[in-house]
Amino acid sequence: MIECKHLSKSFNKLQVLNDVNFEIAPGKITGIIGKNGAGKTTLFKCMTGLEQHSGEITSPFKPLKDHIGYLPTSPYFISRITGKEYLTMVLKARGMRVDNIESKNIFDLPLQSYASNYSTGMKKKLALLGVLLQKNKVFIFDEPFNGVDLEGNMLISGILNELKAQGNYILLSSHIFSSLKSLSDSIFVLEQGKLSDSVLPADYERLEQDLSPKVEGTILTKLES
Amino acid sequence: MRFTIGNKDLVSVLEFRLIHKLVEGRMMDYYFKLQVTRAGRFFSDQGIHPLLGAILACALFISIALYATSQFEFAEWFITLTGISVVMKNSNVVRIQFLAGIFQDEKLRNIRLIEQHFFALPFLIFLITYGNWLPAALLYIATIASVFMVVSGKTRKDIPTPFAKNPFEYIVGFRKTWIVLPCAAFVILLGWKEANGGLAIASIVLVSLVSMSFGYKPEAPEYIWMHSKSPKQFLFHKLKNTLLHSQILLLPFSIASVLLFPDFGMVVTIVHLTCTLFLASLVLAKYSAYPYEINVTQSMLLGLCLWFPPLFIAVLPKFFLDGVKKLTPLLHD
Repeated sequence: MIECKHLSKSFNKLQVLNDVNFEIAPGKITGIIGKNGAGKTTLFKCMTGLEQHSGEITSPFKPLKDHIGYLPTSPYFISRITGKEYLTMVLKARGMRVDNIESKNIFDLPLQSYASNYSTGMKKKLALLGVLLQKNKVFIFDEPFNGVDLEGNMLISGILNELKAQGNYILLSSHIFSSLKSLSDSIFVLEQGKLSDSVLPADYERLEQDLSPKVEGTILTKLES
Repeated sequence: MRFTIGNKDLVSVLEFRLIHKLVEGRMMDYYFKLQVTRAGRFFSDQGIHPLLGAILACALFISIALYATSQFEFAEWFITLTGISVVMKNSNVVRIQFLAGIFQDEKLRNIRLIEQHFFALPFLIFLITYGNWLPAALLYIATIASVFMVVSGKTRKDIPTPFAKNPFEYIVGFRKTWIVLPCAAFVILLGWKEANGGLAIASIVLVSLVSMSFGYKPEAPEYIWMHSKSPKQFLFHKLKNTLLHSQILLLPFSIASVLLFPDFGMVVTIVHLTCTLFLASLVLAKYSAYPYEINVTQSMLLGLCLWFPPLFIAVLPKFFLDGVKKLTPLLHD
């Protein structure tokens, strides 16, 4: 079990995460949902160790960071390195052998082209391929479906289910509620830096209704006020 | 009596145009104010007062240009090429597309015209002051042309490098600057033809300067975090790569220089070693400042090392230890 206890994070005076407590179980997909700015990405960065925080994260892995495959919302690629070179780098960074990368190109990416020139969806697929090749045990996926084509989305859903079946720890955020509810074994709701709800599949419909916008009148008329 | 244009009242048409001009003028005005603010922030972030920073930048430009003119035969062409590269860099596609999304065509052209003149002006003034009319004219033509150009800078073609097994700094740097290598080779050959060993030294320094540009900017934290290494192991890994890769670039030039100018053997060796040590210090300085860019103090320390190379003995361990501290939050012990 990976346990996050009393996780808090603030940037100067702005409290982004406030005493967040939750657990991630092996062989389960744990979903996280929240509005823009709710603190999801910060939470992920704290868990990976990319951001310093207060509170504690316990896990069976030492150090945890070397077992995490993190897929950010918008993966960043250095200019003028090819897809193949990027994969070589992520494997070498973990001290892994680099062989026959082309045969593992499950997304049919143009690995000889510069990664920074890839489309949004291709960049996401390349970053995902990198974390899969690293053979991590813990996966943190921040909006993995954004910008990816339909076929890619179906592939990613399939991959998530396979990773779950292998007993990996998976934390997933998505604004596409249909994907999130079909994949997750439980969903945490993050609201203004706090976990406000923990929902099991039986209550997903209720959660969807809770999250739907409550707007009086037409939306665009608000712009004219 | 009322004057009309088509079915519109002339006064209201003129009013509309006047208001339009004012709004557009204010927008342009605001754009340039923003650029001044950005420049000011650049200096403030380095801990320098913006006004002092502007004065220092001017002084630095004049000093380098004067030094180059006094030391090198074709300095005016070097200055011209630098000026052209500055204005061309300003025309890169991402920037222009961003501006085109905000400003209408005519306004965008005016902005670019003003900006490009602003950037070319220091080079033009210098060239004209020294009576270099032809280079100045070429630079001016390039400046005007750049207003109507969009430089992509992107290539779909993968340029092969000798560093592909060890991404990423030297791969990226090599692909960005490979054109300098044949230029440096040309400089050595020119030195051989003119029996001028100084040019061979200049070519080694040129290749070193280019190598310095490869890895001085901090990378995204994810690119450090992904390593299963302690901060010390990570820094040794970076140091090893820098030392090995820099030799792949430097050694051919140093060996050629020694072969063509045997009398310069000792000087070439000293320059080669100093440049190698400098490159090693630079990579450690980068991580000692992480996640920020190398600051003024670190730059001054690096400069002092060039002036008095034995200082490397003290500066290298200092940067290493500072780097370990800065990387500890991202890497495990």
